[in-house]
Amino acid sequence: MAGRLPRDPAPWAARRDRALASPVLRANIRSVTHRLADARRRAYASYPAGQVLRVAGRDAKRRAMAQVEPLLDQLRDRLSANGARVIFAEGPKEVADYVVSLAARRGAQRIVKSKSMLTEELDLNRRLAAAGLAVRETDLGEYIIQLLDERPSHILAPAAHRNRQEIHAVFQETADREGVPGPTSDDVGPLTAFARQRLREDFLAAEIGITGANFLVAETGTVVLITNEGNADMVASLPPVHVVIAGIDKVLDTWDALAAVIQQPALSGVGQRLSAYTTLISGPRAAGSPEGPEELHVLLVDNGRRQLLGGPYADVLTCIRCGACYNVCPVYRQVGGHAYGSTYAGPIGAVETPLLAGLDFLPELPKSLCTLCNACVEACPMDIALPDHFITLRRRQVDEGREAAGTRLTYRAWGRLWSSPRQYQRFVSWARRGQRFMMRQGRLVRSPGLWAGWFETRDMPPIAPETFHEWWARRSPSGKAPV
Amino acid sequence: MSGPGGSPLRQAFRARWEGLGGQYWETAPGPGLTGTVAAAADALIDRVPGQKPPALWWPGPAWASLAWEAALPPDRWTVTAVTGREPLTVGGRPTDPTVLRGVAASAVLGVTGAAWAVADTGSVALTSAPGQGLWPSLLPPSHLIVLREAQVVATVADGLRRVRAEGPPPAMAKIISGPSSTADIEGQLWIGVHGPGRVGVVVVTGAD
Amino acid sequence: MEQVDLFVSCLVDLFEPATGRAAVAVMERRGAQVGFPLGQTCCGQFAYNAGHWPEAWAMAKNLLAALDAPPTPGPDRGERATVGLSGSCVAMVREEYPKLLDWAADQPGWDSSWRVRHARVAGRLWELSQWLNRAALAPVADEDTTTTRVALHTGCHMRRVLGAGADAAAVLAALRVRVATPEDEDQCCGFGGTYAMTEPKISTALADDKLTALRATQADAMVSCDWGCLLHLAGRLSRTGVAWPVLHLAELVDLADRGELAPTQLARAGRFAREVP
Repeated sequence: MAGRLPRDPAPWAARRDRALASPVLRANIRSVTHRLADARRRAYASYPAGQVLRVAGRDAKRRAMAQVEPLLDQLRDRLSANGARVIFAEGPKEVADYVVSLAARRGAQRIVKSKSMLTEELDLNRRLAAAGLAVRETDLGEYIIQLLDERPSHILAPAAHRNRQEIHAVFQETADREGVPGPTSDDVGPLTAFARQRLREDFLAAEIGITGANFLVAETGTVVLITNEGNADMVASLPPVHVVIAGIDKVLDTWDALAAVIQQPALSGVGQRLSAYTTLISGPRAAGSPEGPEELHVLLVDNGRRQLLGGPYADVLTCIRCGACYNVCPVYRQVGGHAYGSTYAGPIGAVETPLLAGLDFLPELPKSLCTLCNACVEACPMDIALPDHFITLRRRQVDEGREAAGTRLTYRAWGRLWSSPRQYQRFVSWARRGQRFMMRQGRLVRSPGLWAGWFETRDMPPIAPETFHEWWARRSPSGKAPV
Repeated sequence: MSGPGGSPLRQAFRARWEGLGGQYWETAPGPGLTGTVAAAADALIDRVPGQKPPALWWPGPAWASLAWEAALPPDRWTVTAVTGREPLTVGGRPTDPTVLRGVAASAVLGVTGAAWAVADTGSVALTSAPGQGLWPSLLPPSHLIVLREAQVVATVADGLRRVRAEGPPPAMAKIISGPSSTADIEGQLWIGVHGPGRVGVVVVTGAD
Repeated sequence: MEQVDLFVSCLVDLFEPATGRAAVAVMERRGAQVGFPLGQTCCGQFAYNAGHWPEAWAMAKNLLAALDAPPTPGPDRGERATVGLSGSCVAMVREEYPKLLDWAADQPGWDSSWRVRHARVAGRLWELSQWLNRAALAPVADEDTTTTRVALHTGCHMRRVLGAGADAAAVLAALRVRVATPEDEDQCCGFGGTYAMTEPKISTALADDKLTALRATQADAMVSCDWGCLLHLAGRLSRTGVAWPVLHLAELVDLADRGELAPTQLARAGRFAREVP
């Protein structure tokens, strides 16, 4: 069943132009993506074992995606035996309903969250707020964009599009509203200290903690959380209730599979061998243990994932959300994450979003956000065939009649003319006649139809007075074209 | 277990741990340990003259023989020392874990033991268990870990294998690789956001 | 004598035939007997990338038939290579056609002999710099060391799909042409086939970044193995009135062979050397 994802109501052209017109966004996205891409390259270059692990990790993820259902059953059984409650949830509504009724049963009002792309995908915060619950994002970047009422623009750096001055302004506003001292300056230190102080109070007061999961181990019933800030540990260990909301694609078969893949989010995402905090949770507080939540709930969410299993796009489900493809994508580097219009951006977002939500959902994604440069597949630790997916999604859009009629006709005519030498020669003579009306100073400067976009910003040489074919015929009269 | 190979693993661990921004001390087993822990604890905080900063001492049952009064002398520290397994005790009296959460949140230093450490990544793993809490590794701004050289393994996979060899995994295990950090503001690295900004380890050398 | 069939690409044939003429001179100078399979038009990549596979397949069949035609009669038929003047088109034929063939195999009118023909063609197909970089055909080094520096732009398909990211630099080094590597050299220039037409704003933003990086090298000219990238970048230079010589590798090698690498000679041979008013 198709998933439901949030969607920016602004059309593609407006989203694109908004991004291109923002110098702050472009400068920040450029520097963050370059920094992370360089860090990844350096990390692998100085760590030969990283490549070995990468391949083993990729194989582990692929193996798991080939047997998801039995693994999910095993995971449920193990987690239940460990004292957790496991729930299979279809989509946004089911997840939100579960959390709301859990909060009602516990009499809980305050929720802290660590960063989870899935809960962004489910638009969970909005749904929980509508039910009267106070939800606080605790990842520094997520906290910033929550205060700004925005969506993340990068998987690993949600506020990558904002600069220090903008962040200082929204922190000061928050401080004024909450009657506390604001950050002492717009340097990173005071800004971070302000967030630490505010969020520390939320951590200690919260009645429910919500996290995502980086991996789920079926063999042991283990939830794996990876952060650099340590906020997921707070969320998972301070409130009396911990709710894990994870996609079914996070499951791994064995503990050994976890060992193979556990370093990849950090290696490919930020160029570290391991993130500062890797936390493995296999149940609620054990008898006699001093810490941990009284209740652990694990929601395993479909939201459009099952429809990809066993098909040509199943490798998309092996994504570990490292963001490596974002960081090398030339289009992402220009427009940032919001231009993609939903939760996931970059190459994986442009491919996965229509696969989860349907080809009619943001149909511009496969077409308008990829130059097919192949940098993404080179960077992807899971070897997801992103360029191939872009092309075949475009093909499906064409096959299913989603291409504009004029464009379709242009390609038909173009294909017919250029697939035989005789027609090609005919095309040359027509084009030579036509181009006289589109030239200035010896250069082509405009064109009708599909080609018009080129000439908005660039010239072209005209068709040469003597094509190579014609030169060859003149040079080697014996080798005349067999037409 | 470490034998002649122990030293290179320890050195590799040290290099990675320090590379991540962690502080490192080592000492031979015996009477020098408390002095090293005392020096490490002092080095991990900014001491205000005349004040006795609050610390949470909770290295767990494996370090029961390590006297906290010698490492964190009461004339220099305000120590909450957690001992025992079930029930936990502070100053010989049973205590409620939720009280300890508050203590951890206001302490400037937490002291814990460790389950294992990884040379390849410069990581230290802690596991929850009866008598062993993880809050002192998370809530105070500084965290000091006491570790035996024999606990240092080569790779993350080796460490995870240790966990599995001991049966079902614990309710919570965490692998710490350096201080809490963020780069969420303009991509600038900042140390110490939610978790400790200063982390130190004291390694007791030797094969046992 | 090695027989070399030239696969010029539609862009060279229609818009920049001087590149094809230079390639013929360069290859003949290295002892090749150059032939030109006459039926060739376009590899179909623009249609393939845009998702119009029936059209791509029609063009692919035409190209395979042309490149698979019997060799031009000559003194020696022992060795035969096909050399393409576009890294992207060569990558298309070698690496992407198999996917197109898999698709075509499920279409009406499929003839499995296309796989055989593709295997024959792809097995002897090289991009020009790959061919020049083969040890047996080491370029004729010009003993005069020049001070000429060129900024090299390697197309993404040449680099990542074909895996020929280093050949052009090696060829230029052998010719004692100094190569300047721009910052972010592996970043896409924004051409992307029809992407340049359908998303001109992003495409142009990428072109401007790429040109800034290339120009920052202060090289005497820009060179590449793909007229796709070059038409896009040179078209942007022309539209913004920037004077800078733009050449295909074949042309630069031809100039180097003839010892005509002085900046004025590059400017004469290169496109957009002078400001377009």
